[in-house]
Amino acid sequence: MGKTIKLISGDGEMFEVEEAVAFQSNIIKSLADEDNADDCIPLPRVDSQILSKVLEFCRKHANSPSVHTKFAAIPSELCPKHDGSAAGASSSESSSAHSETCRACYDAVMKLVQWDLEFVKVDLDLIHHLLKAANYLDIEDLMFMAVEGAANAIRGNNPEEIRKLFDLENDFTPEEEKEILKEYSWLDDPFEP
Amino acid sequence: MAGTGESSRSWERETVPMVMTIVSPMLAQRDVYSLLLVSPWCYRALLSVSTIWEVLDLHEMSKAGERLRSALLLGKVLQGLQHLNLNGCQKISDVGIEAITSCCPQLREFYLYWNVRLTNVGITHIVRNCRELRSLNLSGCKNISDHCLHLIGDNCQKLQDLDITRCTKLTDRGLQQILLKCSLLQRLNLYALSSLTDAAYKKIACLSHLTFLDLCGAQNLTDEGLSCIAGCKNLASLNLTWCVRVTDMGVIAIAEGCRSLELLSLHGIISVTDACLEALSKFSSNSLMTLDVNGCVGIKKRSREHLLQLFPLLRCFKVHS
Repeated sequence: MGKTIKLISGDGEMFEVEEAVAFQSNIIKSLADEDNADDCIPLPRVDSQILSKVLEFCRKHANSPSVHTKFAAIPSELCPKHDGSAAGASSSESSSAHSETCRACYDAVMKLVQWDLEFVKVDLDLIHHLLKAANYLDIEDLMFMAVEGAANAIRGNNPEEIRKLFDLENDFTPEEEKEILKEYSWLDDPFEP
Repeated sequence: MAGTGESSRSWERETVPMVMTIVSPMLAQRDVYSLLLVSPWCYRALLSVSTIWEVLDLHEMSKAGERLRSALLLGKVLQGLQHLNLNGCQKISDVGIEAITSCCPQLREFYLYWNVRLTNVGITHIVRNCRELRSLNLSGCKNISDHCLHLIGDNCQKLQDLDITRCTKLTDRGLQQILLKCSLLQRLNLYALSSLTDAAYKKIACLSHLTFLDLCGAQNLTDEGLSCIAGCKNLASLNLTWCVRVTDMGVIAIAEGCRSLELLSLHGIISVTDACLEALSKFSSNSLMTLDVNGCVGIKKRSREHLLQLFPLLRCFKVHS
């Protein structure tokens, strides 16, 4: 292993991980930058079950560019098939030109996205914990994928189905429900006025 | 997670609504509708997510007018609307436009592609009510005239993006109003406005922020007009398809003036030669990614290989089909 970081979960478990993995979290990165070389970084708001899931995600993403938030604009220097000497400019135009023409990079990005989609296709309880952790630890890619996981679960479902997914009761009165159905029907497709 | 008492209340009243507010901006309108009906706490949470109420996209939807009428009954909800897409909603009239714009003073982007019922009356309401307008798509709105452009010029100083494709009643006089008064314009689409002349084209030079210009079909554009347009130093995308009076002189002026060109179409221009490509290569070889010289019979070295030698970043060789 390269240089490692020690993290302590809220329930007292210790995780030792490589820097590249842990530094996906902007919070951990900035805490480590201070003079805590040998100390452990405590993460009181994340328990061990969730932290281990988070670190699994980070391990997978450690050596890939942040693909989700930048929509697959891969800088040439990270491409295994190129020697990093792209036409001088580091403009976003030449990056997107690169990723569109480089099949190897495109395939790598797609594989990563597939893995991520499987990773978040889990029960919604876990998704909500991942969302909270991604928010607390400031991990952009995990945030994006947890949100996407929740969105995928919601898309195309009617309210009763969504309630089942999130384990909720129907707390509206019939009158309230009728009113909302009518007032906001213009959002629906197809539209019944 | 459901369970008993405390944790279950926290789940339904705080956690789930929190997740919904984060997720909702990524969802389609009809999914937002479903979420409103999930629980009272979700309903309340969603009404406060301002971003989902900033965009209304009814393009080519059935019964767009009735949807709008329904939405307007909820006045307050659409107060913050910033983006309204009514492309292809052909039954919406000036009256509908008045109703919606009077409820949405914050509107920044308004798309009305192919609305042939729209007249100067509708435009009057748009410009008077929506003082924050940045982007206006009037492509195919055949019934608007120069008076509209006067109104837009007088009232929409913040406009950055204007599409008046195929608004064939417009003349040089009207366009000049826009060019002189909407100085923040970055994108201008004049596709299929074949009666315009250099009298207007020359004034495009007033738009110092212009990055996108579509002059497809500008059959009266001459080298003189094009040389003035070369004063728009920031031009990145220029479509001169079928601008048949243009010769090397005009294109070379563009090459010298606009040094960060990314897209250029000379499609169908028979009087340009290899000389203009050499000039373009001198200045824009490290930015040009799209070049259409199909039908440019005056250019001898037009093969992909030749073009890539002049412009190594080229990826696309066709703009006009």
